[in-house]
Amino acid sequence: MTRMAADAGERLLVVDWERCAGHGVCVAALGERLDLDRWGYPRGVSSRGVAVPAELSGAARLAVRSCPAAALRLVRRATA
Amino acid sequence: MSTVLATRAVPVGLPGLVVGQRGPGPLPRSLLAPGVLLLAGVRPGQLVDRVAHDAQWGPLPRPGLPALIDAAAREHLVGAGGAAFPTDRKLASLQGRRVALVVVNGAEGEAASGKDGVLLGHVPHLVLDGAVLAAQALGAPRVVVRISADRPDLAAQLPAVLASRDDPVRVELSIGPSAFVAGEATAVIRALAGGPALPAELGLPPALPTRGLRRGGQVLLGNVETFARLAVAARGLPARSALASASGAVAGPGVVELPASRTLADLAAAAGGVVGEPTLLVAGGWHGRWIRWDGVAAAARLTHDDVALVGGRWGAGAFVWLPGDLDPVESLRVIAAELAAGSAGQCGPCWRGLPEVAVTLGHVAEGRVPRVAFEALVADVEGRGLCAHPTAAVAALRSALDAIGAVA
Repeated sequence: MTRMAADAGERLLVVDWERCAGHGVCVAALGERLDLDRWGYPRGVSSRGVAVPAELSGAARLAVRSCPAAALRLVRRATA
Repeated sequence: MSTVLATRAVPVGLPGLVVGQRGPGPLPRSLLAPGVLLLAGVRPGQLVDRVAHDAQWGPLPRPGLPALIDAAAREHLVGAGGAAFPTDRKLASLQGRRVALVVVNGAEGEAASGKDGVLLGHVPHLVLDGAVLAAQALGAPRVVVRISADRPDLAAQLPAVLASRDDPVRVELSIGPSAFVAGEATAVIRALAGGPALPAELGLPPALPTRGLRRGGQVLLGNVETFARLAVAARGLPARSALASASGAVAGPGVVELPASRTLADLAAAAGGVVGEPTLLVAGGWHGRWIRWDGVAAAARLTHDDVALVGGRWGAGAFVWLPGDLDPVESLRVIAAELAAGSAGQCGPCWRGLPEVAVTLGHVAEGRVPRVAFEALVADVEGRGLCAHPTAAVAALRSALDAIGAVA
């Protein structure tokens, strides 16, 4: 039950592709999950959100804060 | 002399694509013959007016939402814009939600498709019936019919059609840009909310973005053909037929409605027959699949399942036979460049990726670089971006490489 409660707080990392300009800062912050493609855009994110495990939530928040284009956000996973 | 294959000196026209020059080719925009259900008895070029429509179909039914969902499920209705999402599930997803708007998407960004314009030009009341009864069932106060600016004929004709009805909800006409992605569902909704006609992440089901509108709310957006079939299904009638656009290396490009039990060979015959011995068919439009045009493909029935069995895709029902005397690699180059140009330019992996894909594809097709170069590149394009364009474009181009390999 307590595990279920923790899962309910799981966050999704969402990229806004319209804003993303391929600075690549997020990859430095969250290298455990992201890497750069040939143009410098991050692989491992999507516009529909990719789950971030709890142990990486600090790194994910850093990636969001440090994005020069403000293209990343963390959202709570929808219940449905 | 055929209208499609003139001479080498004259550019070979594909719908929306002319090798060697930009500009419209012979678009499949005319109805070729009376249809069998939605267009039954309708003469090409003839508008079925309100009186004739009422005489044929009777008054507008008013099913509640559960009955409408049942009718859509009974007739196995799916979205006819290309995604083939089951209509009953789309309606059910809006149950209990506030629906602000019903959008009839006739923006037809797919140049190889002409069916939506044909329906709006011939049987607009059937289309409007479907949208209005859906709006009533959902409690939506407003219906918008969205068409693209490259159809001034429809823009001129539809206001009088709307005026001849006395609908219980507000019905408006909206005219948008004619770009490929401008007809994508979220782009249409975004434009109607005062934004640009570019794809957006609006969630499922899509909601009107609150910015630019006083109050948001859910949106039911459906393709023109989907609403016409819904109008038939809601009357308790069978609503199945095959509505397809045929173009490319056929003598008379256009739109035909046939029983779904007929075949791709019948579709080609209805479009005047193939000319110049084509060996390739693009099934499903520019986001579709390239397949070999052979006896197996010709025998496929005009259903989603049969077309998929021969490697094609139904999509929006657009079929383009590639001229047999045109180098397939040249066709591929033009179509790849057109798909790259079709990017809205919003998402890096799409606007940077597709032009590189187009160049690499040409090299692979000529055998100058190995196929793995294409696959490595598209790994950085597929599944990325906020709309389906890059992923669909790559799938189409991959099938083209396969098909060209098969005929070479």
